[in-house]
Amino acid sequence: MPHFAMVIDLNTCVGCNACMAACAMENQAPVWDKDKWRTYVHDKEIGLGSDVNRRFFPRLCNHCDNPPCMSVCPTGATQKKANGIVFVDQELCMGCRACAMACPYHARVAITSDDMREGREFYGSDYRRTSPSMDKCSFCDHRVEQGIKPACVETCVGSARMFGDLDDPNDPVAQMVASGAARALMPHIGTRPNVYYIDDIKWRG
Amino acid sequence: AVKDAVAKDEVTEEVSYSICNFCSSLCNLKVTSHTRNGDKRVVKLDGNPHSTLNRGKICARGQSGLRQTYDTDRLKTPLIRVEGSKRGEYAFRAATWEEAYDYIAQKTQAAEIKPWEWTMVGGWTSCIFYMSWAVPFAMANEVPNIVASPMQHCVTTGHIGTDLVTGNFNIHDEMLPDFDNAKYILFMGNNASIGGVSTCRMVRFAQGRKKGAKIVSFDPRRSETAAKADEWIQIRPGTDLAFLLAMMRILMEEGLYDASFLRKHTNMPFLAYRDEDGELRLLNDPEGRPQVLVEGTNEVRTLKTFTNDNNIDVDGNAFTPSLLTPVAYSLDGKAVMTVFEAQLQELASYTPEWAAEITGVPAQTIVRIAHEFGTTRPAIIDPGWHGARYGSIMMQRRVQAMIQALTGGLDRTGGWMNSAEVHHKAARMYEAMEHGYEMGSPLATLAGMAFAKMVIGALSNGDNFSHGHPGWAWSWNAQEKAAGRFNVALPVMTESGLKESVEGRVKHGDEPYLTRGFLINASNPVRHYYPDSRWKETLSHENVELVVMIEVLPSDTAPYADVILPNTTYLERDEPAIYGNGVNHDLALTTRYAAIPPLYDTEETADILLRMTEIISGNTDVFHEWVEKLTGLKAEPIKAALERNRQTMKKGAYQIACREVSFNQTAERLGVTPEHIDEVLRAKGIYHERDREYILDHHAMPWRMPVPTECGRVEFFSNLMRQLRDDGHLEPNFGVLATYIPIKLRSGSPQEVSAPLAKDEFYFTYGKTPTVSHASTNNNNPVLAAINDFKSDVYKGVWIHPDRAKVLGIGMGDSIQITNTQSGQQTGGHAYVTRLIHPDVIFIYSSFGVENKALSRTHGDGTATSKLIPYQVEPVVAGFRSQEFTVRIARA
Repeated sequence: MPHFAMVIDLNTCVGCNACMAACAMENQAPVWDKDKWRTYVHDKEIGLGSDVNRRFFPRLCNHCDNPPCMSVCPTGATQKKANGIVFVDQELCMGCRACAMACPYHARVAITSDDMREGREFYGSDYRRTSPSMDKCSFCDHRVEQGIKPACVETCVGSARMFGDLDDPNDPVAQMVASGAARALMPHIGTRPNVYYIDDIKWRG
Repeated sequence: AVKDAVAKDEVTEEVSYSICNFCSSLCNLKVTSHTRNGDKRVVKLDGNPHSTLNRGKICARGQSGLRQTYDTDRLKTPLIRVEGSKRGEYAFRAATWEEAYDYIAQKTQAAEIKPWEWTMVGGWTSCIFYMSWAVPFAMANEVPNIVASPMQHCVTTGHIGTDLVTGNFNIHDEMLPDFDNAKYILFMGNNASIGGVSTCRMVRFAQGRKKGAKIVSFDPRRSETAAKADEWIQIRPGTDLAFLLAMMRILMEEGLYDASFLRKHTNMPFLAYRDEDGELRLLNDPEGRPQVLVEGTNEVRTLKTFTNDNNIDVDGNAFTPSLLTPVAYSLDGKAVMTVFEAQLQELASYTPEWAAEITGVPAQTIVRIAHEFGTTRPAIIDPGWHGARYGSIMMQRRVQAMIQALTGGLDRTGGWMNSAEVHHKAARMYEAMEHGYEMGSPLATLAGMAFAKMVIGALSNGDNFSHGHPGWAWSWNAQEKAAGRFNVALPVMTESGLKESVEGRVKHGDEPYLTRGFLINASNPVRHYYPDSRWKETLSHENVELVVMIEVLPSDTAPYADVILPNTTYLERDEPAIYGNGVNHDLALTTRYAAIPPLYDTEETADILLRMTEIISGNTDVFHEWVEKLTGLKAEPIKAALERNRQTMKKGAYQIACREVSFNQTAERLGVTPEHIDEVLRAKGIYHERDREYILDHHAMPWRMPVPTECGRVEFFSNLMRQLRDDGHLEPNFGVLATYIPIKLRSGSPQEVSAPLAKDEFYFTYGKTPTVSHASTNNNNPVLAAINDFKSDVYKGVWIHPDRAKVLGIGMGDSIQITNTQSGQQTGGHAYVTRLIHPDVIFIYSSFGVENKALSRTHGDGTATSKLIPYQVEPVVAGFRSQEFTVRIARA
């Protein structure tokens, strides 16, 4: 059984937002609300004084091996698959938002019944959602199951986003993680995330 | 793959292929559609995985493109402006196509609009995909006036600079640098092609960066591209040329160039002299052939006029031409030097210290970057995207091309690479030249500067039309030149003289040369051109009898139309032809397949142009002939197919007729059946002809064949500029060599650039977001609008440095007023306070500022550049000097 993970090379993320658009179209995101993204890209200035950098920082669900969102879910809607993918069962979710509060990576959005009404209008006969629920990145499990990469990875213009199997020692993604070149966000909180970043800034001093 | 849809609600998935329509990169698309209960919808776009151009990837605009088709704000039926309303009010009533055409016909007849009184305005999508119909339309209807929005912004202003050196003037024009294999990549201010984003460029750049290329970006702002640089150098705006000249001087003085390349493939070794007026001229033999010195001797050899090889003289003898002449060398009583020496002389005063003073970049940094670039191979200086901005941009692009040529990095791994289509066309053109046969169909066959000259020749000469009128741009500028006033040498497809023509100030002989009718296709001049007020006044002028517009969405220009003809979107149509694969290094063919039938009562551009021909001149036969003459698509089979299609089709009959003939003729050329091409294109979206290796082996320019310049060599000495100077154009912009062109950021002092700014005064800059094509309507796309809202502060704000903002009492998000210090134009905005901008500079993204409420998701957002940029152009091609001013900022 594979153990899926994503490595994001910040050196070639150019902040083009193709991932946001690809994800939104693939997963029928509520684009009428600017704050409801499964994945998004920060565009921040960092550094002190004139030693200032502009960093694009893609964010998404980290598909933790120890997911706090799953622990707090009162209905069992949030589950983890054997392949590492954390997902939400729309039918079981009661929309209590506990998972959103528990997630340290700000990776949850709420799809309301208003969003669903809007969604049926917007996506027409192809609209797939059956009930309101909390929503998050699924690593495009419906694609991954068919052996294709998540939509954001597929279209990433800078090839910054890479997707692979940590249990396959020949997989470049596994190698980048094993070598320490790619590192997780907030590893100290014990969530054991499966999204890793390669740093783009050679810090001075 | 089509699955069987048996049960109710079951989804049938289909894949078809198309070409993206949101920038001139022309990415290949894979289109996925779902059919459920008989309703077929496009559900996802992806990069075509079979494409070696965009390598299976597309940007945010490409991904969101399907939502343009489903945009609820779309133009869904023909519209006629409500009687009694004024242009600009956006009061329209829905009409049928027949009503709309009748209205146009009646108005044209009642007002007696003459052919030359029509002006066509085309945007870049119509330029790329419909040039083969728009130009024949103009010729058949004898309309000598085409304003094309890519020209003054990009194609002529920027690319002509590059083209003067490399000769590559093409529809898609720009080089696609081989970023994959470069070890050093230098960007001069350009962000559009990497961060902007051009997918075919960015995918290559990313690989180059992953492999460890050093990236240096000169930009007053930490653009998306500068954010990916190893070194960001905050140069003062408008001073790139000064840096480049200093860099070129260092490279040439210190021998950091590919000498054998310069000797063999460029006009650097050509002998030249200065005439009594100090004008530099080539020392050609009586037959006009260039002469060179044999290396190490005083022996003069004569070369062929047009060739790529200076190492063989006209008698077929091999030798090595010299880049240098002996001290105090003279010939026929004239002091003679090589072009190389003349260029070095021209550069003599452009020292690193001189450039440091102008650019604000320390002299030692300039020297270091020049050394790094000059000693790393392969190195790329990015050719740039988008011209305009300053009067010096054409020269800047030229010097960039010269610097690239100094490395020998043209059509070479890790250097600049011409597209396969350009190679292919040039190869066929040279073959025709060699065998002395006429090629015909110049729109399809002419390569490089020969193509540019054909376009200039067609519209600038009244003899090409039975009514004797050249384009008003040419009349106006000749008139101004005769009066000794500012004029433009090559106003190719510009608006230079349009307003004057509308106002009756352009003369043809003794008669006023009026413009009274407009046909605007896929162009939004109120936002594309500067300033917006100029176009609003022009289109609203009482002399203008009729404004017809072909569009998909109600742009800010739409309110100024009388009739709007709604177009299909790119996902709803089969294109009228097979196209080349853009700037791809591989030679391939591609086209669009309709993924779904048209959603609304729309029509195809080619069909509209045919119908408009019936209305304007009735010369549809002549139109078919011109299509054949210019593009090679044969008239008789098109007419037959059209007749046949009309039996069964209400719309698009002509478009499909052209497509059929295009498939047939392409099949004939390739020696296959049209069914085979169709099958391949349906299965893959790409018909691959030749890969890059083959192209480079056989057609690399100038290695294997001449470059399509005037002389076949890479031109440091510009033959075109020599001709323009001889025509009396003597401003520094017309330099025959690389030279400095002062720009006028502020009126008055000659040292404006270095003089201190007032405490509320800033240099003005603008650029592209990766989510909106320049000044287009895709800011209304719901997905892109949502991303833009998510990044509202960065994208819609006015970038200002905190040190300067603080002095003015301006905080993050504050409302501000912006005033152009030269023109007095004013507009508002919100401050985005950031250290990512040079303290002397403000920056805005050019993606916003929509006024038309019919664009429901974006109107009222951000700041429109066309409200701040005044009307000022440079003298070569009327390129916009769109950043050549300063602004004052105040809290609103």
